[in-house]
Amino acid sequence: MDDKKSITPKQVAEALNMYFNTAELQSLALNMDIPYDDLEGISRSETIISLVKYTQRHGVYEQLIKAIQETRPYINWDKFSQQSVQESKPAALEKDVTNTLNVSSSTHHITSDEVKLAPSSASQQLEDFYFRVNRLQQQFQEIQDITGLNDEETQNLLNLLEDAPHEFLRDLLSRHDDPTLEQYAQNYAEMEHELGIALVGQGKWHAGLRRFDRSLTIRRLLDNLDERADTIYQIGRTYQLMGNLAEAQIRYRDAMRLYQHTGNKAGIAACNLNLGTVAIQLGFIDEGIAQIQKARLAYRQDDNDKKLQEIDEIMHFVHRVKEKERV
Amino acid sequence: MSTPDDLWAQAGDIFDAWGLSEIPFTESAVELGQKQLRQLFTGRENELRQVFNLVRGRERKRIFVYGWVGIGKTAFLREIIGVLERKAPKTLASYISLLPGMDLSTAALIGLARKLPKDDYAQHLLTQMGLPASQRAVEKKTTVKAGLSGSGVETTEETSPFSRPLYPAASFEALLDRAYQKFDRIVIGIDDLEKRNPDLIRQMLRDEQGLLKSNAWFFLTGHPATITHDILARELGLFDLALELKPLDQTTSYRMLVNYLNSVRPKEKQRDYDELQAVWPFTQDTARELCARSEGIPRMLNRLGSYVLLKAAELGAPMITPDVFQAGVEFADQQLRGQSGLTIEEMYILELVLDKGVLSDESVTLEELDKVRTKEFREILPILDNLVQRDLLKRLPSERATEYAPSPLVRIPKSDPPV
Ligand SMILES: Nc1ncnc2c1ncn2[C@@H]1O[C@H](COP(=O)(O)OP(=O)(O)OP(=O)(O)O)[C@@H](O)[C@H]1O
Ligand SMILES: [Mg+2]
Repeated sequence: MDDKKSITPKQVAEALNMYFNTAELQSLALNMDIPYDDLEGISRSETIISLVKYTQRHGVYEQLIKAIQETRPYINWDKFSQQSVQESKPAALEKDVTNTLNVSSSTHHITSDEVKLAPSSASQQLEDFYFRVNRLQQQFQEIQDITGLNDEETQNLLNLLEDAPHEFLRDLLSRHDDPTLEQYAQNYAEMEHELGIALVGQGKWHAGLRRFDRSLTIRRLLDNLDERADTIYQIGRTYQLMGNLAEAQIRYRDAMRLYQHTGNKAGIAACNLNLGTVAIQLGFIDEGIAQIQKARLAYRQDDNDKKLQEIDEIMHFVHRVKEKERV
Repeated sequence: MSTPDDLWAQAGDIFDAWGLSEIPFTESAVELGQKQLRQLFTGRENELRQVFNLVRGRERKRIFVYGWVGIGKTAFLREIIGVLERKAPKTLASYISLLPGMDLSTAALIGLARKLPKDDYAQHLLTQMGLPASQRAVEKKTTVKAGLSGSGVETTEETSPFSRPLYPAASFEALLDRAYQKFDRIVIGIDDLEKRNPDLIRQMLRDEQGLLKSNAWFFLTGHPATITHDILARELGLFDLALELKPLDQTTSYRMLVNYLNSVRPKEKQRDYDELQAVWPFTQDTARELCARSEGIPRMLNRLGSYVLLKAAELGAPMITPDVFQAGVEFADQQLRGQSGLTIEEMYILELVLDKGVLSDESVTLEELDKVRTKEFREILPILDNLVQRDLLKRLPSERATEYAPSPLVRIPKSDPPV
């Protein structure tokens, strides 16, 4: 608790600036119920300052620090007080680009031999890499007048950069057994998953799918099959909303197999319910009803009234459709 | 000992005994000329009738033709385009295959421009895209000699690093206006939508509604899985007719076989469907067996027919008896499975399907997926589709599940007799 108190708002802002890309900031805000889009500030750093101030005003500053520490356990807070963040200068940019892109060949970073010999340094590598990429992202935005790129081009570049740590993490994970790294990966995958759900909730299906896809690629490398199934289920749900029923069906069944393996009753019931509605949408009414009944049974055992009511509404509707068909 | 010259003569002897000038079968309808296609095209009367009834109306329409791999979408589309070109007055009809990286507007633009050889703007557009101008399109294919030794092997490569025009939809509209000064009806057939990722197709159909609603007739083709019936008809209301090509019945398959054989017979030796000799060198039995095994899928009939004739030629068999046919079936199996370039994963998965008879996303178990080193059916889907493209597997036409079975060209290993 003590070290939390010693972290100043300035340090927090700097940490956010360094270690979180814009999407991750949005996700962090979302998880804390902070209206990110409404925060004041035009540039990224201004928005971050507004974010920190917001948490102070609403008494959730400590929670913010906790969230940062959970998602980025490797942050060395002292670094910020000792050396303040260097202002980016265009001249430094070129060097950074080279460093970042050469990360696997430059000596003080990794060579594949080093990686094999010293697996514990993996999280350190990721930290370094993250640090560099975020700084680059920031610099790209700040020097837009110099690069002469328009907004869209800058955004494309930023998106590319955003993918870099993801790919790097994937690569590290598949080659290392490092608990800190795995913890980080787990949090990262969860964050992407949650952000996906939020985006789909706003009707941004493709953006949501992109998030789920990132979460899934990481979760495929981790051991937790329930979480992996959760993401697959959400992908199925998104496709169902989009009307791509064939794809939805495949995903639900994939999720179901994993839930059955782990014995996750809630997961199985959710898959049964949605597979049932997909079947009905495809015109296989009786099969659909049978599958929904399975879900109903499970929810009844759990006294899950909300779900039971949802099922009743669906069944009511289905029976009405069937009646009409008979006429 | 036979010299190569003797062998060549002997091979000729067999074809003489069969009364055929060469093996008539082809894998894809793209390879056929308009004249050949006209001679070979069999059946689909109902489907053609539906389409022609629509086309006779004044109002322009959008038609979607769908069916599984090798069912005859390309043949059907090209036949329609051919009939319209020959018979419909003042009609421009053009066929084009949607290449990877091409959007619908660009495809439509190229298709239209190619049919306007005398229009400067059209030819300018083609040149601008880095494509050969009309008419000379075919001759201009670059021929590349493979190897240094001059082995005589020539491969034709269509190198088309076309550059996309800036506003393909607008260019298309402009060109359409010009074309309508000369024609009363303009029909563009865009083939092979299914070769693209389904989500991309959905997106494309949404984005390019403007194009599809422009003043031209459109025919598009795809797989049922790509764009399902309900999306087409209800959600987008984009198509006036969604036409499914189903497997041919046995009688039609039989007639198709006769047409193929006739196409390589001298004029005076051509036979009617009801003549017993119509399927020679096949016997009635082996001809029916060929049709039955192909399950009404034209590509299967073509491939299997071709393997059987190749084997028969090798055996020097003057007639396709049941034994010769069986040897041909085994030859097909051997050739297909021995295909070079199968990855370890593809081989694993092929074995799994052969083992099970039917692999379904509904009934596959986690243990089985584990064996192919995954935990999700979705991850092996691209591999399954690849195996379908290679004619090793077929996709079953069920909507209830995503199911694959060995193709009729691959023999299922006989399971042990029940105890
Ligand atoms: N109605 C038909 N009459 C005669 N031959 C046909 C007919 N339909 C298809 N074929 C032949 O069967 C083969 C496969 O047909 P085609 O290439 O049209 O299939 P497709 O559905 O377009 O396949 P893909 O899904 O691979 O694009 C070709 O050799 C074609 O000429
Ligand atoms: Mg085709």
